[in-house]
Amino acid sequence: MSRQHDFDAFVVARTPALSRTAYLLTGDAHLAEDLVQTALFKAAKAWHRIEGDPEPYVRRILYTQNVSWWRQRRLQETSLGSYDGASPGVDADLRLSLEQALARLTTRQRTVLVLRYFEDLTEVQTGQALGIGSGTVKSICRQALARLRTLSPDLAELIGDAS
Amino acid sequence: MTLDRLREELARLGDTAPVAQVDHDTWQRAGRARRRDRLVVAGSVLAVALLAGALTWLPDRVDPPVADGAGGAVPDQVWAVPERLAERSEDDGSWVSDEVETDLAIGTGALAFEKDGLPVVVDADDGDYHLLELPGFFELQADSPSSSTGDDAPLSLSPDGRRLAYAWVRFETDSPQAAVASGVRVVELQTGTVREIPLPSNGGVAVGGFDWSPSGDWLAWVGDDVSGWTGESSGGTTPVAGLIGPVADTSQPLPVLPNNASVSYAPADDGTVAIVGDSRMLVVDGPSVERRVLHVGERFSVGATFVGGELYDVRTAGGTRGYSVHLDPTRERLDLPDQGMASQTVEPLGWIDDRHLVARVTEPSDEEGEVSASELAVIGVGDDPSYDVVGTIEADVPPISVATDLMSLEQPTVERPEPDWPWSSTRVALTIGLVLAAAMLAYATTTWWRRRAGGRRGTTGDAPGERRTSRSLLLVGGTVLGAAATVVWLLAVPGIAGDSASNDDSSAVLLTGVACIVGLGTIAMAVRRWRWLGAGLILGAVGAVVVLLMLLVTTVG
Repeated sequence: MSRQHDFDAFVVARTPALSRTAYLLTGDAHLAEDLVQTALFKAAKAWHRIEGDPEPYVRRILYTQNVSWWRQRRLQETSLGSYDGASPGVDADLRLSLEQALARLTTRQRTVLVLRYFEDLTEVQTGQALGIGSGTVKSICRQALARLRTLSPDLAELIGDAS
Repeated sequence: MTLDRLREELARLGDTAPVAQVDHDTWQRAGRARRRDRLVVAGSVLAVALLAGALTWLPDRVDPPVADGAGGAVPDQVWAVPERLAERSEDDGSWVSDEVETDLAIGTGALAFEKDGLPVVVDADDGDYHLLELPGFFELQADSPSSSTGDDAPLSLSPDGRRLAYAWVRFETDSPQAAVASGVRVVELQTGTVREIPLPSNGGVAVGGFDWSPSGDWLAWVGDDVSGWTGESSGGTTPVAGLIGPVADTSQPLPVLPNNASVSYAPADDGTVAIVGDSRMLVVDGPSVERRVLHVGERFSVGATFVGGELYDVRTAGGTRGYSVHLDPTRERLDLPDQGMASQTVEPLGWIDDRHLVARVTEPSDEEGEVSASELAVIGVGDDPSYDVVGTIEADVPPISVATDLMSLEQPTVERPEPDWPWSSTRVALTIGLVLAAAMLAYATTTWWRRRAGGRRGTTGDAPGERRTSRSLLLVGGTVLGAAATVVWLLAVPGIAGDSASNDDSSAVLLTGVACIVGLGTIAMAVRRWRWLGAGLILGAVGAVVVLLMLLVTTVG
């Protein structure tokens, strides 16, 4: 019972933070909700095996699950279509524009950006969380920033030339 | 650092995210899923263990037992050779099957027989079936001239299994005078060398049977001197017989006993030959011939041989009046158990010692004319009669000769793996077809499932109804697939493998097929996405087997 209590407490405390990350990772409120639910379900299944702070475990599921969903989604083009459909709008608002630009990155690029600049993880920590090398993290990050710049010149001043 | 602005924007964007609703029963659902996963793992382990057990249990396929005892041993099961392996090319009469060997140095033979003209020697060391291409082998066909040699065969293995004697014939078309060259060839199975003993005759000698001395040095043969023999037709025949010495390449003629119902030749290790007829016998020692009168009543010899210097003559009164063994010169009579095996046919193959006869024993064919498999038996004769079945000889196996020196009372026979005959082309084609069909079905199902899964995730709402539908669809589909595959396998394979020698063989094949389907289902069950399909496969396969068995029982009953 105490385990269930721990789990419930964790859910109440951390769901908002997880939701924010999930939203940034997916760019879609429904997918973000699915992602959080799935990650917490998987964490509950393995709760007895988690030692110490469960948050890194849950976050790792969040990141990797998103990538694997993206792999499964490749067969259907509806989600990409919906992003494209939204883009012709006048992007006077910088926030919208960033959101759209993020949607056009690959899932890996978006995930790395979110981990590095939203979660404020180091390159090494990002690499550990995704199971890739820190060199790979660096190069994906550089590609992602370059892509953002190309996609939306307005963002250039946001990102700057440094990378 | 301008990237700080990106950080801020991301944080701002993150703050607009709605907080996800987490179901209250997440913990309970996770617990159920965990238990289910454990069950699947345990089930998979169990299924794999069962499968492994079944595979081991399948007769001798997986782990062929190794015979102990140097010099080899006689197998406890003699399998028939499928007819397709004895097929010949229509152009030049050569064997069609790749299994036929030309290298005659096979070591020691345990037993030998001839299947539709194809000589078969079973290896004493590993139980392999050697299909041999013997040069000039004379195949004793139904329309060939042959003497009334009964169950004799035109090839014979010596008691120690090291030599193989066979009849050969060569039809010369260009010389009508000496049209036919014929005789006996003796193969040393250790080296593969062939000793040729031509038999001078008028038109060619069709040798129809052999008898070895106990040591395998002397060889007596019986046959027919055929006049006007061309291979297609033949004139009259005259029975002839002869004796071949240990290293001789000539044969010395032996007398024949005309007007006898049956005649047995028994060469001894010293070169004397006992020729046993119905009521008298001749003992031939070089040029001298001694005649003896037999006091055996109305009994006919079915096989005589020397055991420890004394002649052991197995005789029968015919019909159901049983067998007995008559000794010479002591005139002792030894009885066989069970009223002399009265209801069965006993073909003597050799002696293990002076009280134990090795024989092929066959039940008379039943009312429908169905010939049952024979028993390879060690029969204790005399005061302490016994009957031990030490092996099985399939019904389709023609008369065999056995290297009885390799048998002992302690270890008469050993278990050997069933020969692994190549599949018939129809069976190969059907298997490939089935596998292709299964692969295509699997591919189609995968694609369909992915589309469904993708579509489901693409929709915004939670769709438990659809999920259940796809599960039940998978389950039903798996069941249908498993049942169909099982039924097709069980019904189609025996028809195709009908010539594959034996019931045991086909039942092993059938079991393997069903085990494969169940194994596939088990593997599928271990994968989360496919577990319903896997469950369906197993359910279908087991269900089909049960239904078929019930049908079988009802029909038989």
